[in-house]
Amino acid sequence: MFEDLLNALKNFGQNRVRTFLSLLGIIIGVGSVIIITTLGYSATQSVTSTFGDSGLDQLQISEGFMSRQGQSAYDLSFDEDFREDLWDNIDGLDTIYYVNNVSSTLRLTEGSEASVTVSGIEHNYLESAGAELMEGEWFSVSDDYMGAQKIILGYDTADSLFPNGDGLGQKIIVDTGEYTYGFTVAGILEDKDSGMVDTSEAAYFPRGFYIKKINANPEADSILVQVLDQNETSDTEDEITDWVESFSGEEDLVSVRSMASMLEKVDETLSTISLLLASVAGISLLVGGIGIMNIMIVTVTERRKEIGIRKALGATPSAIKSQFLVEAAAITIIGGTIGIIVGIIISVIATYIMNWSFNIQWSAVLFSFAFSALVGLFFGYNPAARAARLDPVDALASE
Amino acid sequence: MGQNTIISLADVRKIYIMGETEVHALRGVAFDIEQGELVSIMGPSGSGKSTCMNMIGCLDRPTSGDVAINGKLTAQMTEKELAHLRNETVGFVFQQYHLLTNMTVSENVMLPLRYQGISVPERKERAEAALRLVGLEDRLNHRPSELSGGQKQRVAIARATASRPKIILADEPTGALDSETGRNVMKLFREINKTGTTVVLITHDPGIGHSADRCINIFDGKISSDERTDKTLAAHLDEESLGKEACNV
Repeated sequence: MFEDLLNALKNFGQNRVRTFLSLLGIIIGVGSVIIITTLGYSATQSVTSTFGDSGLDQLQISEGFMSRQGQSAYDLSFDEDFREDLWDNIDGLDTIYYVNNVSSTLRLTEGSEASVTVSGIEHNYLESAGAELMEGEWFSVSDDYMGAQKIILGYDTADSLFPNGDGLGQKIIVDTGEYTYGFTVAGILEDKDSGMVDTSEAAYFPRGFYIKKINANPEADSILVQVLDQNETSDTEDEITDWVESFSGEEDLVSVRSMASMLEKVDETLSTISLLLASVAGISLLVGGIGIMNIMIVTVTERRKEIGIRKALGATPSAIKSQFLVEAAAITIIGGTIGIIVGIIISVIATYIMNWSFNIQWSAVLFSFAFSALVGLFFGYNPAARAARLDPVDALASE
Repeated sequence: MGQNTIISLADVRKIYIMGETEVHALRGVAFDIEQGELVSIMGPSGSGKSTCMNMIGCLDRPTSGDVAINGKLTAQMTEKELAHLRNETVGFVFQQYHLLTNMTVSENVMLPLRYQGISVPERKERAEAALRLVGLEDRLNHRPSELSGGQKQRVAIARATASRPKIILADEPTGALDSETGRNVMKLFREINKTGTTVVLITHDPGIGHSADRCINIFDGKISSDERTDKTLAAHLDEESLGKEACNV
């Protein structure tokens, strides 16, 4: 067996170009398998690590398409009654956070300024959303209740206002266009994508301040809902949509989104792409296998005399068969190995471009390796059996 | 068939079907060859001598009649059994040497031993010994393409003898060689024969044919003569066509 392998390698060495060309199908096939699994796995890993587990139990309710267009007959408002109704009608909710947004200009006394959307948030909102403090502290319950004039800045916002990183405790002016208020920077957030909420270019003050100073009886601009069981997030999302539809009789009155359902969509897209690549891989491997069969038939035809000599020297049909099977398996394993290397290289480049972390599934590599050997054995069987059946007298007489 | 009979053909017929016509290659050939004989089977091309060689070499089976090699009837044997019989009993030497070009000299000689399931170290040892006997111990790692015709044929003889067969079957072994080299090769066959190995030479060349101890003439698929060569004639022919060395061995 081992000698057959060495002999096979020697033969390939003599026909390098031909061997390589006949291997292309296998290389592309195995390469695709590696790329599919690696990219799929890396993408899933990246998506999950970006959003973390923190966002998976949240969903966001905002005005739907119809009400944004002003085409809605039903007057839905995210007021305190809605909060109660939501609480009463939907099971499995943990917390409901109302959020109000104000487009503002943040200004320093010296003149440096930034245009951001400042959100009025309820106690614990940022913590629930998965944000982390780089420095400073969160708003307390009393900050919210009292409407304290404290502000927490997102990383980029803080960076543009205070390039030297000395923002904490500084006074800044929030200009809503209508009113101007002075705030103290209470905290600065880490630069981190967190769940449903993109905090980096935002700023936050207590919703209590919003109620006290800007709008005494406010409707929320959006609602963040935290559910008790993150496996139920998607179901809860559907329940809320159905519930709103049932009492309003309108579709698209609210838009409910969750990380969980977004991840599901990403997963769906990825599996569609994977299916596509898998069929490319399958076809390549099939074509590659036929290529191997072809090259092996050519080899057997070219080496009729060698087969005759070997038979004259006492090789049994099964010895000849195993010689050519080993050769076919060896050639596809070489192709498989090249395919694996090419696949890994392309995956590394692709994940780098996509800014994903490179995650390889070694089980897929192992599978590809074994599979390519199997392709060789499967498609090499017929040529090998032909070689074994050759009549020694005819084979010896051939040129 | 005597006790020492190594090759026995009894009313052997071989018919090839070529399209619609039947070709009668052998039409009832019968002879016995004893262990240790040096025999030539001679005939012009198309006489059936090659078919005869294929029968003795277990490469082919008769259409009817019996071929017994080392006491075993080949007619009912499977391909596998024939391969084993070939491997253990017969060593081939071909006109065109038939060495595998992508292997070294010693790898070529080791090949039949491999099919006997002999371990690699022993194969190496026996291949070296066989190559020493033909004077090519310094060419072990050469490729056949680096050797002259005579050297190639000596490698082929080493390959045939390495498996220690009872029969050496040589098909026109000097056909591709010049007369001087041919004489040396014939000398080698005589030396091998002296060790008790049966040597069968297939040839169309009367010079070679008559240098054997016994010459079986085949013509048109039948034996036309089967006689001990006249020693005086053989010696004369040896001197005339094969040179003095062959005469002295």
